[in-house]
Amino acid sequence: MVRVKNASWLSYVFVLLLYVVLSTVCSVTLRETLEANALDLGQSLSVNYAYEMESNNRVYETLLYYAAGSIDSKKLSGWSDDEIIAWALDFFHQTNLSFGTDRLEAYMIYGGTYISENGVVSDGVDYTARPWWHDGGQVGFSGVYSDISSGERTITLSLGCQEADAVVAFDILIEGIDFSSGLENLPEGTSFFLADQYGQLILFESASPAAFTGNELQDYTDHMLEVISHDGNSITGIDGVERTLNCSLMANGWTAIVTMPYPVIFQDLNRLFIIFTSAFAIALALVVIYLYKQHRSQKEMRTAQDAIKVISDLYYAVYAVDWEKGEYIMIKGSDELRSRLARKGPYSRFLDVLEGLLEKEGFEEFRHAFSLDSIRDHVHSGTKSYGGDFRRLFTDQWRTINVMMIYDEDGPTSQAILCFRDVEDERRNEAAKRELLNQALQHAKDSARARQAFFSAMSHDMRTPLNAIIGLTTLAQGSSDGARTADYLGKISSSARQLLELVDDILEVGKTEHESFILEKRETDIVDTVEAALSPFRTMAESDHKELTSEYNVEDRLVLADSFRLTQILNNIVSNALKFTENGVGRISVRLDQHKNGTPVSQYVFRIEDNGLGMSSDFLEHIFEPYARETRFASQQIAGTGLGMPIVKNLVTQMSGEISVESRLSEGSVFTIRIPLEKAGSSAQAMTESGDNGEVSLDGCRLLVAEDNMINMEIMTEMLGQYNTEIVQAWNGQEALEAFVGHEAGYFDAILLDMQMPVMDGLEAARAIRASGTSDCLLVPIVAVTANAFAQDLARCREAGMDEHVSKPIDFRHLASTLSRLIGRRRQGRT
Amino acid sequence: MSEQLLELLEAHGVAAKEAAERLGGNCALYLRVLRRFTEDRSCALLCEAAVCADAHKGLLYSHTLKGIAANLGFSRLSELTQAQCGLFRSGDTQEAFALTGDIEAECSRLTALLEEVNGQS
Repeated sequence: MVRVKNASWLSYVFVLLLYVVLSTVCSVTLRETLEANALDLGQSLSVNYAYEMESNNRVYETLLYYAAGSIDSKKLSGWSDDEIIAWALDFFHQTNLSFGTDRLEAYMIYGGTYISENGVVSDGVDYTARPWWHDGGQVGFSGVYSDISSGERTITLSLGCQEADAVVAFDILIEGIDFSSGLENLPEGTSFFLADQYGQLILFESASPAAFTGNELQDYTDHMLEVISHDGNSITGIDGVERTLNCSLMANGWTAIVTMPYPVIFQDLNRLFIIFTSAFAIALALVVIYLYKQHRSQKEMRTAQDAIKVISDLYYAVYAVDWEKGEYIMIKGSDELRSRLARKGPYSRFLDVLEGLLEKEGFEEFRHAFSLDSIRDHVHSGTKSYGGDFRRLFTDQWRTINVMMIYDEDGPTSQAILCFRDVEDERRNEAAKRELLNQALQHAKDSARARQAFFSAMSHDMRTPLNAIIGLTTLAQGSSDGARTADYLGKISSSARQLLELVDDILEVGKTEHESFILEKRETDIVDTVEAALSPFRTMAESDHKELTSEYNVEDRLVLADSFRLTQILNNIVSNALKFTENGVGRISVRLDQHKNGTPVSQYVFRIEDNGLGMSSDFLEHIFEPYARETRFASQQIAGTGLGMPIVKNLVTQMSGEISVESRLSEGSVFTIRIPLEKAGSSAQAMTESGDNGEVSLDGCRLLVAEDNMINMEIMTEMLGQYNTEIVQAWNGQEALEAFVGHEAGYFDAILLDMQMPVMDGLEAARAIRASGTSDCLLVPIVAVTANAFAQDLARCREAGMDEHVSKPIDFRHLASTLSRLIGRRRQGRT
Repeated sequence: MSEQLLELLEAHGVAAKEAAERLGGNCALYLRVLRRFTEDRSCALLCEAAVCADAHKGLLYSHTLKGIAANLGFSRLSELTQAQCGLFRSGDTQEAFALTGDIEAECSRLTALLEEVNGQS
């Protein structure tokens, strides 16, 4: 997936880079071409302007040659000077008329006299000293000069005659120079310069308005000619803009120069560049948006795939069935079937293979329930899923599987999915749980029956003393004999005490069976407690001439114990011993031994022995059952509710102790009680009371414990229960998850998860709890409990969102300390 | 009585005193959960996984046994299951399942021992 994603990124980056490279190459090529074209255009323009100027000049030269030749010819033919001057005046008139006096003025110096259309001027001026004077046989071009009389910038073309003393000349007015090919259609900013053979600027024209002084233009012309002399073809314009530079040298030494601004030349290219850049930016944005969407889509797809994988892992085989085509497609096959069944094929072939794997009766049910017609009918009737359990042979073992048909309305219209799941363990667990429930139900029924029997007996037992009290009270009221009345009152008192004892016992049984019954452990001197309990019985024993002895073999007298309940236990047993021993010969001994095991918790063993009536073996089996009574006792006319022993049993069990009885009829009984008691002031005590940080204890905490094994669960529940916690049990990660999300936030103070469990393991459960979205899903402490202690397991626990890790065998002090610390931290965070 | 039973277990290679100590010295609880072991099906399920050559379940049940053995002080069983879990984790399924016989024998030995203990308690 990552590789595909990278490839996608790379392909887009490659395409974009290619785009940039191609765009750059195109731009550079285009720029070079445009520049070359501009230079070619400039060159053509300069040549064109030079040619046009030369053409004009050639006309002027032709006319000058014609005039000079004609004068020479007429001179040789014998024309007089006046005739020649008259002819010349006519020629000048015609010439001026043809070109216009605003462009050209024709004249000649004939015999030192200035002769023009305007007349003959004999002013004695030495015209040979004029800058334009040229009397050679070839036309001479003056440089640019300002005419003395008009002040206009002028160029003079002159030619001397061979026979006559005359020089014919044309004054060309620069203001009148015009070109047929204007600059209007040329790129904006194109400029034309014409310089004479001395570098003087003759003419400047521009395609756009320009206002420069004559000196600026002359300086710029000098600079251009300097660059041209070095074969340069570009220049910074007078306006500061880079320009092309092209020139053409004319035969008379003049230079025609054309410049064009680069920005104008590259105007289209820049536009194209902006278009390319905009296109690139848009493409880049689209690619980024596409990749972002693709990333989101892939992320969602990965989430969906993860979910599908989790679901798919629940099934060992998944097939798609098309009821119209009568075909199956193996989406996920079991190891055995992959070698025996093609990935796709007729559904009948699938059924044939399955026939060899399912129990015969089960297969017939399968064939009927999952026939193509049945699947189609179920789907058409709106059933989206249905299925059932079957027995399937795996290699050489029969196991229960569950087959489920699922139809997805968004999927192919004629296709359903068959999912096969191994539910052997699940069903066994369910059966075990059902068995437990049945046992509990049976127990409840037995208990109810016993309770009913008890109440029947109680109503009799209570009615007896009550009847006695009522009857004797009536008798006492009617008696006038003081001695007899005193006897009645004594019997009333006895019956009332008997009734009170009965009521007390009933209340006690109810209390010890109630779940809120809590032992109050306090620092207690165990020997003093026993002695205090025995004290009232010593007086009774003495009055009945019975022997009551006590003996102690205790090293640690100060223990954490509920002295009231201990006294209650001893009261019940010792009072029975006194009741059932005969006056004068009865012996009751109480012995207490401490069995140390190197820990702060020792076993304290109480042994209460008497030589009384003893009990039958039949009754011994039921002695601790609540509401069960020894009928033999009833016949003995000995007061008692029959609840004393169940009360004792409950109390001893609550103290995590054991009680056993040995008894023989007429020989007496021995009660042995073993109770683990912790030495006062030990470290375990400190931990129970305050936790590691001295601020938080586990007292009253509610813990969710997920553990698939009954033994480990029992140990966990029992041991954590000793820290006065409430344990909610879950038998796999799925149950833990359901229990967590099924209760309000803060219901559980902490969660303990075994790492390896069926259905859903601890890691998966931790992840699911953290992702469950409840308000405390990220806060509730989660502790991993496992036999794995590898570093990678610890890392996986952390990665799954677990806070701590506790190894098996479990050190419960460490576990309690860890829980106390985590819960304390959470509570501090909450407040 | 409890002391004698612990001694008996210790004599048969069970770290009973240490296990009972971990349970706060609560011998009654320890003996009660020991009785549970005789009803536990983890070993049987491990054997079934071995028959089916199902490594996933093999690891699951071996791991469960490992946890039980550690908590109850079954030193030998703890060593065997630890070795088996290690082999499963390293992908050496065949070698891992080869230990199943030893594990089953140890479980049987412990079950017989615990039944004897139950008879005495």
